[in-house]
Amino acid sequence: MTVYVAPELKPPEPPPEARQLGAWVWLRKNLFNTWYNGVLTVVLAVGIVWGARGAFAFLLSPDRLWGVIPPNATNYAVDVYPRPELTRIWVTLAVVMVLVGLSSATWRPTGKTSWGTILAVVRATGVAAFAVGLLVPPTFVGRNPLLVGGAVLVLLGAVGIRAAGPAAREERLPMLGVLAGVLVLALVVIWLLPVAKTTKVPWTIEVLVLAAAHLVGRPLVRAVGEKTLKVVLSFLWVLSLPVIYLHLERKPVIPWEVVVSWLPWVLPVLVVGYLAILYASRAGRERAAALNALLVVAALAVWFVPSPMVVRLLMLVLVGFTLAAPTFASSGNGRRNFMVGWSGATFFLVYFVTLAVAETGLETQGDFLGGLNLTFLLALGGMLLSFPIGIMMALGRTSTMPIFRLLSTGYIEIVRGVPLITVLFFADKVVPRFLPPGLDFDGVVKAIIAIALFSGAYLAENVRGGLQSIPKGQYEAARALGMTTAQMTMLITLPQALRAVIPAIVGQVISLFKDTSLVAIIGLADFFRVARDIVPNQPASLGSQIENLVMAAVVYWIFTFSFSRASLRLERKLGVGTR
Amino acid sequence: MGKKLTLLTAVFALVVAACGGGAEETTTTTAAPEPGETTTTAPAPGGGDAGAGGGGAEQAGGSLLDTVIARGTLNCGVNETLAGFGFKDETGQFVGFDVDLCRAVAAAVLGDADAVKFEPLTAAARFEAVNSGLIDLLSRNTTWTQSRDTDLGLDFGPTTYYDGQQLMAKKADGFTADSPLTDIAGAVVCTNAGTTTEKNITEASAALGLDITLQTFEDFNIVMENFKSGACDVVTTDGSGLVSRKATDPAGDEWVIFPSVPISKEPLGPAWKQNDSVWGDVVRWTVYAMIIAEEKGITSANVDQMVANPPDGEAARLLGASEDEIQTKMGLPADAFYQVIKQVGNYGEVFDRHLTPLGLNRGLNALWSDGGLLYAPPAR
Amino acid sequence: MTQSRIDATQTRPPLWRNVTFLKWATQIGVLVGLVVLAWILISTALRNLEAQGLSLDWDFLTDPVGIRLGEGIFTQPASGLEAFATAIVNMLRVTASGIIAATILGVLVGISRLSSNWLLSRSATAFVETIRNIPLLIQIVFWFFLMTLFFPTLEVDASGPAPGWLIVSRKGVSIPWLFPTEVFWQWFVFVAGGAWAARRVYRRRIELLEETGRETHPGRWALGTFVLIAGLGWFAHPIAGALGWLFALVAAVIAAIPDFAFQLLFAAVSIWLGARWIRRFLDSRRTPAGLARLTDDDYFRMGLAGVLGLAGAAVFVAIPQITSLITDVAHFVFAFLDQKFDFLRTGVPLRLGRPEVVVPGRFPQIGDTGMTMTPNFFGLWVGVTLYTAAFIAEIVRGGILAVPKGQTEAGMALGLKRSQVLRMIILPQAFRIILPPMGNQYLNLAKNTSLGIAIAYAELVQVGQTLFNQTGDTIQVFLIWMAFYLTVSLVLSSIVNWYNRRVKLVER
Repeated sequence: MTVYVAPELKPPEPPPEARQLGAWVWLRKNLFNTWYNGVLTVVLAVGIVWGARGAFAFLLSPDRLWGVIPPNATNYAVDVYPRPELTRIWVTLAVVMVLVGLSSATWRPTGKTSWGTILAVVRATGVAAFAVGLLVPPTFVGRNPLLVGGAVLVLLGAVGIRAAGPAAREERLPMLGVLAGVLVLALVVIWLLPVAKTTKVPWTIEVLVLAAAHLVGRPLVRAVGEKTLKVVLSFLWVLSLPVIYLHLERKPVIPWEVVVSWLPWVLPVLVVGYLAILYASRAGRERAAALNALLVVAALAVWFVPSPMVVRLLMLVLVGFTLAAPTFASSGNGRRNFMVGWSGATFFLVYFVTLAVAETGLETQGDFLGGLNLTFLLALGGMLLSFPIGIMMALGRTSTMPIFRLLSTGYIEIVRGVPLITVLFFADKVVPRFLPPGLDFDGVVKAIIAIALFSGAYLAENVRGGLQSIPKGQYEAARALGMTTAQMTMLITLPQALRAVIPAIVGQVISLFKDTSLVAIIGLADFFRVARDIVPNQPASLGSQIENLVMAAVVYWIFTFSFSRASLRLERKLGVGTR
Repeated sequence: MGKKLTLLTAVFALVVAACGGGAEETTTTTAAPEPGETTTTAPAPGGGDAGAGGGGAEQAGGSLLDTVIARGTLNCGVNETLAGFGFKDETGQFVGFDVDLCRAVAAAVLGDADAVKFEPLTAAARFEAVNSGLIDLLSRNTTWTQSRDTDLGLDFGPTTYYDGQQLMAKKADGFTADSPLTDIAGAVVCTNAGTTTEKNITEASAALGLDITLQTFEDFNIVMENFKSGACDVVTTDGSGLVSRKATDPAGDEWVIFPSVPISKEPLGPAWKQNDSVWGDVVRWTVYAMIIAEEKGITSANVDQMVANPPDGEAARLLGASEDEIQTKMGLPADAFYQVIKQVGNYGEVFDRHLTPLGLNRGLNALWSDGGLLYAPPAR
Repeated sequence: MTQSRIDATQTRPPLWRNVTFLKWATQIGVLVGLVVLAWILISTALRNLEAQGLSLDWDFLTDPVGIRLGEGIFTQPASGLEAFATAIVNMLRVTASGIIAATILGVLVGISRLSSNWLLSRSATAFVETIRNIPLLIQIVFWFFLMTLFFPTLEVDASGPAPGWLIVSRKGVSIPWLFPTEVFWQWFVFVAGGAWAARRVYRRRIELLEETGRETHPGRWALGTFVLIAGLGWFAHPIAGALGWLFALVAAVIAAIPDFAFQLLFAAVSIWLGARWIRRFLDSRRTPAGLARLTDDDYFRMGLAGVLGLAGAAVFVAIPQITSLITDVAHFVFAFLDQKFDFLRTGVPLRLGRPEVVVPGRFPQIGDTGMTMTPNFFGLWVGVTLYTAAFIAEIVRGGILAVPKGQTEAGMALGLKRSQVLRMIILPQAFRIILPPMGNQYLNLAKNTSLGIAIAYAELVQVGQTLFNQTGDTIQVFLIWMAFYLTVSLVLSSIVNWYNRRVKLVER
């Protein structure tokens, strides 16, 4: 039957019949291919229609107090953050936008899409809108707009697809352009329709900043080089989190007089640090060890003599550097990196501590962390802090040292065995009992630490899985090269392990984001608590419990769903986790 | 705030330190106490007095009054989830009857009703907040009881709102305002957790030998939803809460509050750490000044005329308009109570601003001359 | 390791360069540091508690408490112990029923996601994506509201209360149920014995099948054995009352032996365990050529084991309360069991209870004759079930996809139907892949029941919080929480691990 046909003689034909017969064939194939599938389809369809009608009738009934949601939008976002200072939040958002824009220019997502796909999305949206229009109660004012709008979209999509013909399926539209189009569309919507009435100007500026950063980023990539920019941006992303949160809470002005008053302390430590790193990396192991012992004693001693906090912290960092120096900085290149690292660490430490002791500059009525702002702080702060905990515990659990192994295993298993809410209660109610009177942490700090301790145990198990997935040959090769345990861990095994478990870690961040809602139970004003307790107890909003719950569910869903979609894409792009 | 940020920073620093010294195997337990040490030592090197809310200093001998004046703000513990008494409005401001008492005290002590840092507290956390020095004044619908006054180490000010626990049921179930408590036999009774209401209804029903099912929820909104749907037969909480719900709900006309004599007395008022009579006098007389102002018809609108033209000697003394005023002897500015009335208002104004819209009448909280219980000692 | 062995054969390095020594010095240093830290914290806590007029004792477990619980075995607990017992039973009820329901639903949804029916697979996907991406806390509150809003109100017929078969109302759902009577435990002995005998018979019949190659109907035989013994026990259960004597005897013996004897016994066991570890360790180092050279590391390990054994013994001798607690619990358990068995008790082990509406006062309520699900239970149960089912569905889907496609094709080629291929070829293989992550989901479900606090379901965290709000005994309540949840985790994960091993063994 089959004969050889040269490919160029027989151009690939699209299967026209299946497309033309269209809906009917599709239905036969996908919904009614067997008798039981047919029954199932009918039953399901009836169930879905019944359920959706009920849900819409309930949600759109005139008894619902949806009116209380829009005026409280700012409360949901930031709770009691002083309104005149909201600019700071916009500024920090702009910082993120700049980073996003630069990153998009640097990493250049290469995805492409076609007109056909876009039109199909338009058509599907139309179908969905029309269906919703059919299902909503007839009294609902938005019913006709939904029906008409849906029909228009369906027509638009269908006609577009037909008009474009086979060309519609060519994938030549860059994804980035489509995203830009969506953003422009969103801007048009907020300027034309009565949504985001008070915030349309800042939102527009944010989008413009994003676009500008992307446009600036392109020549920048050419000028600086892609690789360098990627490294720099990665650092900036990590650093942006603390910087942003300090700026949300502090007056974004560095108190120079404080910095100057610290210089006589900081400069000597900086110089001593250079010398110590130099010495530790050059002198023999024994001498370096002696120096380290000396530095450890000094670092502990400064905590007992009056000295600025920044020096105490700097000394701890310095000990870390010199301890690692003989192992990692023995080459000229490594030494240079260590010097740069030490300078950078000093700079940022001084920066953070300076801002931390500065005044907030906020005309505030009280604790101003709340709403989504707090939810994000808890999730990001908890995650960031859980990394050192998780990595240390994973190393401890896989270590050959039995006591460390026992301690880490015990920690991991105990924390994983109890619910998060008990850990939060522990931080809130039990920890103060163990501290001297008068010394208690702020509720937010306690919650972050509790979340980090909790999440760290799970992270440890993920990292352990990564460590165990590394082929034995890697260990043996590292040994054969004469690496010490520390070198092997830091340079060979840990980086591979972390890379292998990126999907698991992202999954954990997502579940952490949802879990932060538990802090509402211990009384922190996070997004969920604002929606559950604070807004429904305003005299004007009494009885709006369900509306607020539904709104909160939708907001959480939007965030979590987009995170998980983004992480899927990241996973595919990195090509990890599939091995 | 200084504390919190320093801690956050310390924690970030620890991350850096931990990463730098990653080769070394340390355990988290050693990392945990360090932020603690940071808190105690942090304010010293920082900008000297920068925002350090030192908790323990005033215990030595001085009064909270000196602490508050030195700090320049009043730390006040309030509710954030009770309509009318303490809540956050759409603009993120703390508002309410109890909140205005904090503002009044701040106006008296600091001359600025906005110089308050509000600390939203849960029912369970409020007393520890007073004892740990986190707040100077607790104004969070707190019932004055013997055990709290003595055992918990608090002092209570004059009652600002006379309340009493009552129950609410539906007229359709045959309840009237005179229904006795025994009518709830066999009912599902719902209330909010962590307060005295739970204990009161347990004791009251046990004393009458009633067999009821008690459901306690963290949030009174859930209680109300269940009551409306019929999952709860009867709800109980302070009368003010019931009245406001009844008045603001569309279905409120079908409900009835009973028994006419509440099952408990709930005198709500401000509280502070015990054995601080200087501070106690300030809070007490701020409340009295607001009551006396109402007696004399002094309002925020006419207070300036009253100062210029005092109706009698008492008013003149209270507003600091005469030489024999007493405020200076209390450690306050002479115009302290003028500021209270000017910036916050008299008792009646505050009541009308926050509670009247919720459908609450003055009732027991009317002036003694109108048949209520508000009776301030004379200012002389 | 290698390095230190080479070192040992040559001249020993100075102590500060001996890797083994440094390792152990660091470990012991950290351990000592932790102990010192713990000591400081605990002494601070004791001082704080004293200053606040509290203490670390457990009196609140036995003292009367003035709380009422929404549901459970003691709704008006007389003591903290009764309150916690109620909470634990409530928590286990949700966990057990949640695990069963979530498994069934999760497997169904997981398979549906792979269905060829477009509507079904899309609905399943929508279900998973919706449920997974909303915090459980919101869902629980939401389901709770749903029940109180959409279910019918509870009403009494004009004819008055009468037992029915099903009550669905805003005050709860009630179904008929078999309740154990006082002789249940005597019968249960026969049920357990029947299960054990059935297992033996099953094995025997399988062996016979393998020997002879004839069909021996192992399943029928096993079932028959079980029904026979359990059925016999239904009438003959008073015979099991003899066990009561045995338990009474054990309890009496425990009570008769003085505590210091137990103390010595436990101390001896502790030392023996340490010694056994060392002996086994030495055995493991023994080669045919004799004892292998022991490294410094080995000596440290053995030393640690010895010290731990001795320390355990010292603790038992120095703190008699630990021993008396253990013996008290053992005595209590046996005395309790003794009460459950009696020759003279006769009757039916199980009793059918049908739900009914009662009117104790002005309001109709669901009587306690049936098995009743309160709105709080419903909210929590539906919440954790759906949430866990969404995750289980993903695990099941992944497991099925992980079975090579050739397996399906081979099954189809053999002429099996799609459903048969799924049931007999795909699912058994997928089962092994999905079992370990399923175990994790069960653990999560058990822990997530703690969110019942949001809708006042009387489980452990809610009751614990109510108690410590009253008494201030936060540390003790937290310890109880931890002990309970860790026990549940341990039990659940051992069951899953045990099952996992069994399933794996069959594969070989």
